[in-house]
Amino acid sequence: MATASPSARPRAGAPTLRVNGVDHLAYVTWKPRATVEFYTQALGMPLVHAITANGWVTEDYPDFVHFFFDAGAGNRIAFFYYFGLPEESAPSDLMHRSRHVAFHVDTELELHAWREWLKASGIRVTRPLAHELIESIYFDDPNGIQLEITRPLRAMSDIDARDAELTVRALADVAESPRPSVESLWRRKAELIRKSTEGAGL
Amino acid sequence: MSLALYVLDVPEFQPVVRAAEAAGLTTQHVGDYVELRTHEPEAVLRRDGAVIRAAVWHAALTGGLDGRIVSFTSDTLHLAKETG
Repeated sequence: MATASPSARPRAGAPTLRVNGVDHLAYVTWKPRATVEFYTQALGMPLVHAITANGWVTEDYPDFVHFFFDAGAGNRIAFFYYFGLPEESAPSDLMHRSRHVAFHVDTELELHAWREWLKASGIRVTRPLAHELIESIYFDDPNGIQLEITRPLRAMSDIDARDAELTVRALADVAESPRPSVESLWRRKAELIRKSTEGAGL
Repeated sequence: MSLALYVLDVPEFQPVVRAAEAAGLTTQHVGDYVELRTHEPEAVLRRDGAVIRAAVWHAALTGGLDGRIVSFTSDTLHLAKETG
């Protein structure tokens, strides 16, 4: 079992260094017309910026257009269209579902209104699914990127952060073992909980 | 070593605590967690009666486990003491 635990908290000494939200997420599209229509019409995100260039960074960088939509709260989602770039095959279903973007709404009413709007716009959308902290609907953009709209079920609090710290410590330990499994992670986490509470004198 | 599981003390996991109590496990608060323990060699927690979404039920052991999983389905969680 590994002895060193990963540091799960920002390092002391740099408390003022903290990023302030997401400026933009960037993806690649081969369907610029459908992408612009989807993000502006179905999702109501204004197109706010575009860059066009013949190359960038390196000699062999392809000519491109990079365009940005305003996702609210200062966040943007952006796409590259590369001229002459062969289209990549779709990711596996698991990777498709894993690499998603979740947009935030505040209330259940908004979540349901979004679902009805997306359905009315001809977009296949799931029923609301409640997880631990959030309830979400899922759908795809024209590029096959999975999108999610989610609302909070309760506020994320300090207890969640302390629990996450123990989970990732256990994960880091078992992920380096010969046969990592979720069951071994759960056993390791129980050990860490007992150690942490013994240390606290409980 | 007895069989024990730890459940984070937050609202969405309370049905897991109730399912464990219904299965005869004892409860004790340990830090941020509810420790659910039995000296029996095995325990079977049932999702029936526990108002809990499948997505949360499948995360029922996220707090940690002293023991081993015999089976973990959408309906039941069968646990046993570790052997050897």
